[in-house]
Amino acid sequence: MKELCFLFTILILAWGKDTQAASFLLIPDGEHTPFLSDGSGEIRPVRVRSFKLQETPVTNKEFNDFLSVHDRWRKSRALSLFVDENYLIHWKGDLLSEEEEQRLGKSPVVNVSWFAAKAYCQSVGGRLARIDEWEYASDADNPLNVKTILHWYGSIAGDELAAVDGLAQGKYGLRGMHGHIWEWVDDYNSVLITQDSRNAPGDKLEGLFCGGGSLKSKDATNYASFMRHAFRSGLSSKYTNQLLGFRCAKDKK
Amino acid sequence: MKTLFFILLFGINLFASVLSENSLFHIDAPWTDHYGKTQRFADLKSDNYKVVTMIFTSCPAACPLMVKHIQTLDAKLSKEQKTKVEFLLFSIDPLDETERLKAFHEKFGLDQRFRFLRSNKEDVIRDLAAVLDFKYKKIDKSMYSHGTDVYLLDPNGTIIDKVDQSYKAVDLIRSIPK
Repeated sequence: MKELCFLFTILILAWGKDTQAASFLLIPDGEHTPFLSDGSGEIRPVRVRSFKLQETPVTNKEFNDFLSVHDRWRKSRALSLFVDENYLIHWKGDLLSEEEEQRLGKSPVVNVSWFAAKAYCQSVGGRLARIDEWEYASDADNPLNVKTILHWYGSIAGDELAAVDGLAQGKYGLRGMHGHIWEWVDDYNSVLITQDSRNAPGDKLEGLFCGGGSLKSKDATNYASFMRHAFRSGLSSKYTNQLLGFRCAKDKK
Repeated sequence: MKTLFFILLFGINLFASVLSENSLFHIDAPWTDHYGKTQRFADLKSDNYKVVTMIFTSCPAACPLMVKHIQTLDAKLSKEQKTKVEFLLFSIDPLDETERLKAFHEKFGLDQRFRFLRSNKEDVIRDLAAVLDFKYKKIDKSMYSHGTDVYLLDPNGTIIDKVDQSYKAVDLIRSIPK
């Protein structure tokens, strides 16, 4: 009986934990043509296996809940190996004040490093999405999305970010995939663009990357995708930015 | 017993205060070397400077070149410097097995200061690549595109120098005390 009671408590706790985080939506199996070639010379479609992705980016409130348990990620304690000096710079203290929770609680958390984002996702039993998964789920090539993104790039003003529950829904019901913030992906360091290749794709790359001489994009006129990939190529793991947040993925069980 | 406890506690504190925030030796994940010995990354800490990069053994062209470039660096080191430097080459391919690393090590006629290390966990590999900001992408089974950066760690595990192309590895000599 005691054991049963214990099990029941665990179940309730687990259930409670799950409902705190944004809900995960099922992304169906499909195919995605990457924006950049993988270095083998041609751009081949890749199969994306069904997985789950959070409906909304992780909010300040959700990240605060994470920090209340995982205090080694609070900004006074996080190692500089894993976060840069602007980590959570938009928060006054280690945790959200009441005023900040009112003002920022429902907005996407930004100024977080790849390591911090990854640690958060692990705490909800998930992981960061891979580039192919993220691009596929975000319906990135849809001309409407391209338009949204270009408009956003042209109008970034440094205003406070909107609450995630009001963001427009995209193809699979995901909110705010475009035109709102940038998002971390697990394999952010797999975009092999260098300063050289941005100007002159071709021979200069040969010495830099094994197989990198043939880096090509499928549509060089898709400026929106190019910006996103170029942004990722410039990231480093402890980097933080006031427009860079994340959402978590999970494998389909 | 109590005394022992205090000595231990003091020892741990001492160790913690020596390890800078930027030290890669905060990483705990296990890696296995080409002799088959598994140890935590943190336990690779020693008094030596470490030349670090990432490779994979089925790499057709770039990786053998990278090893050659690192050998060139080694050849330029003074006798004094040679005793202070070790070379750690981590595999980005979770399918690389100890035997393959060993064969690679033998093929290049390397001595014990050179160690190849592997993990069969993609996550462990990506974490190390992330602290180094080493870029790589899986193209196919045991086939990768990757950068050829080479890093120099001081004995504390802090990255104190780096070159973005392996043929420049010899330049790292500038940061190794004579």
